[in-house]
Parts: sequence; structure tokens; C-alpha cells
Amino acid sequence: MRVEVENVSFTYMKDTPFETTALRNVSLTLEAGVYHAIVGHTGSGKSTLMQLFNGLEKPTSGKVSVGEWEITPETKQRDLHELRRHAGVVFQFPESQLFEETILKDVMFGPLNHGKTKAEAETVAREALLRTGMPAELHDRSPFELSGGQMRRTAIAGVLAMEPQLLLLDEPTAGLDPEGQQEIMQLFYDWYREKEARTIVLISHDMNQVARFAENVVIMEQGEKQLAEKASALFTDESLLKKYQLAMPEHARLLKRLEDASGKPLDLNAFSDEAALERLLRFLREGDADA
Amino acid sequence: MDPIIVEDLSFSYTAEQLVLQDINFRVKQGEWVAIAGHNGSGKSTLAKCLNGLLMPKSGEVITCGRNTKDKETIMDLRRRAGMVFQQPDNQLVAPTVADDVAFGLENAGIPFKEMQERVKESIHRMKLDGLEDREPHRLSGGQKQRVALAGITALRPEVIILDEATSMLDPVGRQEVQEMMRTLCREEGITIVSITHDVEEASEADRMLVMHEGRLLADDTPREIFRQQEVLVQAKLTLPLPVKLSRMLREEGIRLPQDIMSEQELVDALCEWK
Repeated sequence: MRVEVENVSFTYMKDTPFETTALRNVSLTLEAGVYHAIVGHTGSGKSTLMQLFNGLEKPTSGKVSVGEWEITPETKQRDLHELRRHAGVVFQFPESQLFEETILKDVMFGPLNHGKTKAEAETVAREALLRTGMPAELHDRSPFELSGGQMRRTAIAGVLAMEPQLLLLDEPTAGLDPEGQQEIMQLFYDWYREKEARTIVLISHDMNQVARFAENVVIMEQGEKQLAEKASALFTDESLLKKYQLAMPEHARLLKRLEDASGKPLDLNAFSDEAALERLLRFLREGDADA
Repeated sequence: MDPIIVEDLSFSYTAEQLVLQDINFRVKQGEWVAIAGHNGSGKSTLAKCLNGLLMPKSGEVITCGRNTKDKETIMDLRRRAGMVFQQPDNQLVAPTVADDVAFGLENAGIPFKEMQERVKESIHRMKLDGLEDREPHRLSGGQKQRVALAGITALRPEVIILDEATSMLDPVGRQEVQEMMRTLCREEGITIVSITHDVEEASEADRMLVMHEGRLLADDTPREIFRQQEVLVQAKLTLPLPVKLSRMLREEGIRLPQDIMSEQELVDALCEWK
């Protein structure tokens, strides 16, 4: 689903002494079928922006269009019920929202709530659980008997079982160990690749993760949009990254250091181990050819 | 005497399963020890045993010369061995930064004048000058963790235990806290025990303990541990990038020194490669 944000501002607790402006006159377009990321420091407004994309919050002024839905300050919450099915959100620590007696029931809750029959809901729930790496023998367990990583997977299954077209991910791997992080990110990526129209918007502090998966990056700062750029262009441009105080992803940074030390230009557009290895081998072998 | 002595420590939350099994190690005065392991490996449980938040099921933990089982000395032990937790929001209690830093001192019965001096000094050390009257909950994650550290350092501890204190922070906050750890350990000689799954952070430590399924799988320098493929695979630890890439290059038949750890070392080796 395409997301279009037009002149959107958002103020928390408007007309109270606690009034805080989280977004200032933001306009941007996130095309359908693309993996997007929103980056920025704590308090930059990125999470607030994302909460507009499934109607969890409404803009204080301006308009947000998500697929065929339009969200303005006047939009009624009940008109957004259907949007929530198409735009699934995985928050930070989604496991804190588990509540049912069994994992299966927990994952079935959303589909049932959106009009699926019990049999249909069970089918999509089981599929979603298997996809997130939760084997059948765990489906009848209580969510509270699970490890932290399994609870996270169950919560993600709950979102995928809604069969969304747009997936909104707000720091989905916070607090997981590196292996868990990698597995969860790969799972989202596989989901994304399955169908042309599927769209992801990821919020993450981890520039390695963003560079690895996202194609398009939006930079937010103090409630304003600073830049929308292709990931491959942004993450290989040291001065641009410096300007927005973003870390260069580790593979590109290593190649950059090597380029500076050796004086030989290198292709910095490498955000995985395999891509970096390929660049390093080429560097060494070309050196050979010169000699 | 070593500030941390762990002997035959076992621990369980329930009757069935031991979360920690037969753990033995010592930490020397002024040492920086990283405890690494995947989620569920027992590393946070171990951290909570070190300052008596959890009691051994069997075995002993002696921190700063005090057995954690001794109720008489437990408060004294916790003053000597302070702990910073993962969630910055759950450990700040007072309405202002200065009050928060003073909180522990007040509890410890430090006279008012000395308290004021110590608060000022701690705030300065943690580079929080100018934020004294701010509300802690309005600070950034890195600042919050530094307030927590200031509250601990004001008590002049011998040991500081950080339980994944950087894992919820953005990269800037992480660097801020790591820099403070460096200062406290390298310049002031405070013993640091840092629980982490960030291998980059662990690679700075003097020693690394690797936990897996409640047992101590390895206890060595980070450099040595990053060489032990079996340990890393079993403990599900990710190698720091320079270590991983030099290994991949060696597998491609590129001859490189065995003990490359840092980005700089790898870049140098590649530039000199023939």
C-alpha cells in the first residue's frame, strides 16, 4: 500500500501546558512494494509518524493517505477499523500485548475480530505461527510459559495472521540477541519478497539493519523530514551521514577505511558479509594484477 | 582480596530447572569483565546473584569481601557493588537529576555537606553538568543511564555491574555509556562487570565470560575467545565484523594474521597483503 503524507503536523496534548509538537509540516510519499526505513534520533518524531500510517493517531493538521484510506483530523476512528487489518504494526516489545490462554487463540484473535470464521482463523493463525518459527507442539501452550524470543514470535504471528499488505515495524528486534535479531529480520524480509505489492516501513536505530534491508530511507529530525534517499546512496556517503549524525553501516565503514588507507577506490555499496567479502577479494586480486 | 568471588554457584527459579549450574570465577580489582551469552543463557541471572538480588541455591558469591547470603552486610555490599539495569526508565526515582544522584547518599546517611559535594562531583564526572535541575524522565536514554551511573559512583563503589545497560540505547547513547565505563575502569580503577550481547562492547573488556545454558562455557581474553569457533557457535555469539571477515578471507585462501580483532588491524593487514 502506498502511503502519502501531506503537510502533516502532530501535537500531543494540544491546548494543555504539556503541549508538545512531535511533527511539523511533514510531506512524503512511500511507494507501494518498497521496503522503507525511517531513521532519526530519540524524539525525532519517527514513531509518531508511523502511528499515523495505520490510524492509531490522527494528524492535528494535514492529511495522510494509506492505500484507499484518508486520515485527516476529522476522520472517525470507526472508519479506520478496516485499515488496521491491512496495515499491521509490530511495536517495540509486542510480547507485552499477549493476553489469551493459548498461543493459538492469541494469534486467532485478530482474524476473528475482523470477521473470519473460527476454522479460517485457525488456519491462518497456524500458518503464521509456523512461519515465525513456532512449531505446532507449542500452539496450545500459554504465551506466558514461553521464552522472551518465543513471545516476540507469537506477537509477530498475530500481526501476520491478519494478512496485512503494509507492515509497520517499530524497533522490532529491540532487546533480542544478535541471532534472534537476524532471524526476525529475515522473516520480515521473506514475507516482503513473497508478493509484489507488500510494503514495509521499518524504524530502527541499527544502521546495519537498515542498510541491509531497506531500499528507501527517510531521515527525521526534531519533528521534521530532513531527507528521503535511496539507502545505497545515503549509506555510502560519509559526509551526508555525518550531517545527520548517522553511523555508516559497518561493512561500508570498513571498506571506506580501507579505501582511505590504500588510496584505491572501492565500491562501498556493500551491506552484508558476502558483499563485503566480494569487495575485499576484488581489492586484493586487483592489487595483484597491478604488481 | 578479589572483589568478586563466585564458587560453585547454582541457582534456580523453580524446582525443576537450574538456571545457573556450577559457576566458578573471580574478578580482580580494577578488571573489566564482560559476561556474554544469548537470551536465556543465564547471564542476567548471574548478574543479579553478584550483588545479592538473587540468592544462590548452592555455592557462594562473595562480593567486596561480603557473602551475599549475609543479611547483616547486604546493604553495605550493594553500596560497594552498584548495579545499572537495562531499562533506563525503571531506575530513576527522584524529581530532578541532582535529587536522583543524592538518593543513595541520603539512604546511606551521608552528612548533608558531604552529600552536596559528592553529588556535584558525580554529576561532573558523568558529564551531566547543567542538567542538575532537569526531570530525569525527560532526558535521552544515554543521559538517563549516566544519571544512574552518577548515583552509583557517588557512593564510591568498588564494583559496578551493568546488566545490558546499553542494549536499549541508540548508538549515541551507547557510546556515551561506554565512554563512562572506560573512564571509571581505566582511570579510576573501579572494577567493571558488564553483561552484554554486544560483541563490540565485549571486545574492549580485559576478560570475557561466555554463558550458555546456565553454564560458564569459556573464560578468557576476548581475543582468545574470538578464535574459538566452537565456543562462538555453541554460545550463538556473533563475531565482531573484522574478525568474521578475516576468517572468511582465510577460507578463500587469503593468508592473514590469525589474531585480527579491530577494523584498523584488518585494514593494515589488507594494505600490507602480498
